[in-house]
Amino acid sequence: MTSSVVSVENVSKKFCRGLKRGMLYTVQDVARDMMGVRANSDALREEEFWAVKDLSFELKHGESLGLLGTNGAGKSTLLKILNGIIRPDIGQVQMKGRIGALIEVGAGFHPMLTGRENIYINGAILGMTKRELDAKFDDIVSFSGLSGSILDAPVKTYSSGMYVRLGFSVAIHCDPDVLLVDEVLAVGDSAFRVRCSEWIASFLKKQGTLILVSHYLPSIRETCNKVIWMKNGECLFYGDTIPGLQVYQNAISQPATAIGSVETNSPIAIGSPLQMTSIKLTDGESENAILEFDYGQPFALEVGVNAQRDMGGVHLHLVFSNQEVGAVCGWTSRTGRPEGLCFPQGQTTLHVDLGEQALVPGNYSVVAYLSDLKHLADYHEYVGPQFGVRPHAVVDSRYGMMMLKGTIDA
Amino acid sequence: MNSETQTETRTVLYTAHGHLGVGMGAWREMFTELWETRELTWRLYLRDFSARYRQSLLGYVWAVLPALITVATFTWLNRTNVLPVKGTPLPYPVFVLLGMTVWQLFASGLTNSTQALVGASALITKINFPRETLVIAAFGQAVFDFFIRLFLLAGAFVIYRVTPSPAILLMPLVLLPLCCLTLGLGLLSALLNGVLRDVGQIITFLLTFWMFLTPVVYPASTEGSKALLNVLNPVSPFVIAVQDLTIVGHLTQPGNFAIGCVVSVVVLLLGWRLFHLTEPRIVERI
Repeated sequence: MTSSVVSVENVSKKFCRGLKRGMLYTVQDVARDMMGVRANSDALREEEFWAVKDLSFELKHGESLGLLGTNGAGKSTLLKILNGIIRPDIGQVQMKGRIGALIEVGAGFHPMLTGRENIYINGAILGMTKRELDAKFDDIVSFSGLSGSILDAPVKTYSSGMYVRLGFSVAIHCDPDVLLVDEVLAVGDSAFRVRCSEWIASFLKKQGTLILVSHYLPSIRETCNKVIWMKNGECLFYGDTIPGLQVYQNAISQPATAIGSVETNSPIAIGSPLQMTSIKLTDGESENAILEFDYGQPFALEVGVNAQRDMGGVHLHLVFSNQEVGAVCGWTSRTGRPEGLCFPQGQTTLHVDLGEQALVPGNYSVVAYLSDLKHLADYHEYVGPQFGVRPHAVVDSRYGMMMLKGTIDA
Repeated sequence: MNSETQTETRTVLYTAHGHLGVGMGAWREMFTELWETRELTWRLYLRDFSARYRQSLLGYVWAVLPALITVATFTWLNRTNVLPVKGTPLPYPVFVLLGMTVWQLFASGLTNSTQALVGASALITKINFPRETLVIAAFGQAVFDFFIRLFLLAGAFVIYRVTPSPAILLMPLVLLPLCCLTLGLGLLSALLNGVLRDVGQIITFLLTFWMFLTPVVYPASTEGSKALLNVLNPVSPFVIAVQDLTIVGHLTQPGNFAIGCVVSVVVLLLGWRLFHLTEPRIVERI
């Protein structure tokens, strides 16, 4: 017996775009099935496309896989195949143990019935017995955080967040060995999300296996040790999370969307006496470029500047943006050097030591600006490299921190 | 679904043709699944049951109202000689109500089952569980309504001072094969409706005509072309059998009834097998 809990071998699935033609194909396939004739699975018929193509991976106990990809990449289809809702056309999937799936939270809820009744129904659909449910009922309710009066109201009166809380709570209490989660937790409020991520962490510690679809990359970074990047049904990357996220991000991000695009790096500079030519991120000690920092690790920037002539009274400004939430912090040379920076004609490299950062784990980009003393005119705007921040192993790194430079009068 | 239960953990294997079991193994798998999911089926039944009339004023009256109105209409048509049915062995309203009670078990059973998969599309496309349970639970609603209508029937017996033969107690036995027939057809129509929504419409449409080809509002005839209907219409033997048990006290057409039973069981097994076989493909289209 192999030790893998989830084993996916060369799985492919095709879908048909046309509704009517799809019906025809279904009838054909069903007829073939019944006559015992194997369908010509690996050929595409008209209007068909591969929703998942030739995907293979394996997961062991305690491993967690993140599925990356833009909308329509085939992530949800893959989850449905793993859950056995739809069959692969080619290949095979083997799953060990009880499978919990949150493809859509609260899918089993009946809107007319109360939360209490729905716990029992949803639980039964997920494979729990009455006795199991009786025993776990209080846990389910307390995890969901719904109060008694809400529990006795029909779920159609619930908010979407309450729906998700109850649904997730029921699903995790069926003690799954493998949990499939499809981008559902984002609806809950922050307190609930924290409870969920704590639960997932303990689930993985107890050797559970998780497959997570999320567009919120920090949560993938936080929970998954492997990722698959899918595009048009095909696997473009399969491997460890950090390199995977980097590859994925470089591919999907129109560099620094909110602030400017790469093209602005040179055109704006036409006629400008100052031009930045490079930005490198380091740990402040070695020369090596680093694209992945630990939470709390010191970091530094090396900015290459090319001056057409001798320039003085120039300020450098840096803006750091989190890919999810936008600009989060900045730095300016005004504070430490009110008189500005001087650049002799030619190439100069600025070393900016930023010290310890306390950025929320996630993906960041940096944009640098050169301006005159009054910050009236930007000489140049330069989009620097993207980098990531890993969660700290010990320190709680869910919250970013800004250290206030206060003084104490004793 | 090929599932082998190991000592500790359960391993499932999903392949392109994994569901195409052949021979007795497949049947054993189907029965095991049915047994293992009995609790879920019951839950789903209770769910439909308790949700059905929750936002309704009349509630369970809806289980008898359609039958009452139909009976009243036909009685009026009969009295005014628009529909001159003569020689019913019971007062006409009681006769129609008796036939209608049986017919509705079949008709609403089939209608409910047909909508069972499509109506639960949100569930089916998001959670993996045996879908037979949905159809069985939906059919269960029709059975429940049938029991409610029995009270109505009993009331009619009292009002019209009809004393049914004690053989009426055998009615459940006679109706069991009818349930098989309904469920078998229901499983098939649920599947077909999943692929082609027209099926739901067709069934409703079909049932209206089907009722007139069944001896519900007129007594069964044993002569001429109408006698042929007693055999060709698979529902007829059961309606006739219930009428026989109530009025005569024994079956007058045991041959037709036996044929009806065989047909019903075959239809059920066939419908169930086809359902099990094609369900994975159908689910993709729902």
